[in-house]
Amino acid sequence: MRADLKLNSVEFIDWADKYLNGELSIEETSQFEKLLSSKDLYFQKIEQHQSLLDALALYESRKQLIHKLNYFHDHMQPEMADNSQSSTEPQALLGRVREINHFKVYVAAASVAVVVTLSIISGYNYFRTNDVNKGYKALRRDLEKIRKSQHAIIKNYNTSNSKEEAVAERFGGTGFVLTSEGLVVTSYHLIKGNDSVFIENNYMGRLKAVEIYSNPQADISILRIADKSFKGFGNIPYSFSGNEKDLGEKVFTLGYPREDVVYGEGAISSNTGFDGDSTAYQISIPVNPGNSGGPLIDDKGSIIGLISGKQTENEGVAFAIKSKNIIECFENLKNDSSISKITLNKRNNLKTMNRVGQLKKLQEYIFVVKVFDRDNN
Amino acid sequence: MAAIVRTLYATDELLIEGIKLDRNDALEVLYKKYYTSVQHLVIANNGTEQDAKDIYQETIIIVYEKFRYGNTILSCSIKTFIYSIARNLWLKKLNGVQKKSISIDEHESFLDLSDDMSQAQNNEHLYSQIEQAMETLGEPCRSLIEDFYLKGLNISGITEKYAYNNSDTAKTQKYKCLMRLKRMFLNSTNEDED
Repeated sequence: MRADLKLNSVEFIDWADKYLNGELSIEETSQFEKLLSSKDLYFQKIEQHQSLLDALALYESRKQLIHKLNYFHDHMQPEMADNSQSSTEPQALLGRVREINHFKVYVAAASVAVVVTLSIISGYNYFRTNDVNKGYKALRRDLEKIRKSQHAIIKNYNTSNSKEEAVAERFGGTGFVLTSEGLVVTSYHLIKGNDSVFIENNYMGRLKAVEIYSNPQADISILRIADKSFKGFGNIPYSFSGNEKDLGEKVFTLGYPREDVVYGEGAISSNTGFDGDSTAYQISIPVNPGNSGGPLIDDKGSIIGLISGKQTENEGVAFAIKSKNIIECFENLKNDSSISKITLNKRNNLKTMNRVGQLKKLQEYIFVVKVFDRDNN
Repeated sequence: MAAIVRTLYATDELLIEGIKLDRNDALEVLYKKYYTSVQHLVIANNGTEQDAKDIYQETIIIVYEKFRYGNTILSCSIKTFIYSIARNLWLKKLNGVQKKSISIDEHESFLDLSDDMSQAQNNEHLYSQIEQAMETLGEPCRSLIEDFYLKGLNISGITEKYAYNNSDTAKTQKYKCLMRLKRMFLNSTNEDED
């Protein structure tokens, strides 16, 4: 027979948290429950703990709720005045194929190009664990810094309403379409603690997006486009590959290290990421702040990863989270929300295209992600 | 708002389902759909635009918490439900100011919602307690509590973020912060009750 569980106060709370979170093993659970039933005091303790956690949950939920309501309120007037869009309603069903005129590609010029290295990478050392991973740098652009060194970053910003203008644009990175219904995947470190997020490219313009799923451990967030002008993406040309790729495989990315989309190519140089992280690849693509959240794509045009960061000491060493993790995050999101009918695209239409063709197509589905943070003002 | 969203939440049932799943677009539809009737109620009865906004947001919070965490079966339309809650809240406010009971001008039907209102009051009370406790908790405890209990950072994450020597130290710190929060939470209960 195993010994009875003995816990001091600190350990008790630790076990209680795990118990309430369902993190104890079956054996531990029965041990703990035995302890709880041994004395009324323990039972009271865990009940009190539970009610404190309930209060905390209410606190968090309300804080977020109030924040959202204020946002809706401030955006209500123009919405109510605008009745004209109701005529477009029948066309706006989920998943409807959007007709795109591929020949109207008026921004292609900027795309197939050398990666322009902006010399503003000066020590931005945030990633997951702050200073612990000293050699690792997440690639979100600090737009304030870029604004100082590069003019004319914000072009179309004045078209939006005045409230958003009052909010400082803090960070920028890249994101790409996950499903045609308007889910977009990006890096968690980019949008962490955001006040509001917008995505923008030359095809779709600027769209408001809301964070609907985040996995800080995997550094992945999923956004949903929440904009009245958005009508769906139609057929997505690429698929998501869940398989591990081999060393030396040719890969490329498109991202927004600056205001225009930038192409970069290289190869998979290791099957592990920073510090032996098996959930990531090391890649030999020159990346810069702002590339974070961009897709890592193989020769065939399948998404195989998400650009996440780079090593600070060595130029040309970058990391990408394997697409398996994106798929996992998507499945998790499906499990606890109403989007359960949505699936990832399985058909890859880029397979037979040459690179230039692939890039033209891909650009429509890749966005600059702009994060606004009210605290900064 | 996209037309697509409007069709998604075309009926009360779909809208409640959306709120239950904590979908922002459902919340947005809910919020924007019923403001005018509450605005009208408040402004026609000595209220300002700001009062209307406050009352409406208080109402939506109640509705949201009911749908999200409680019983989602309504004996009336969402519209009537919202109107009835807002009416209740606004009357209470007017009565509070004037210290006597008053009647208000209205054009819509409403329900008696004593159960819902008392649940709402409990939540309101709980919220003000925990809010006060969190606000007086101080750093790093507040962030630590938020990171662990609200943002789901695990102990090893806490250890790293707060640069503790090991996970045992982190657990002890978490425990101390929690006890501090609990003390403040319970204290604010006592203050409120006198």
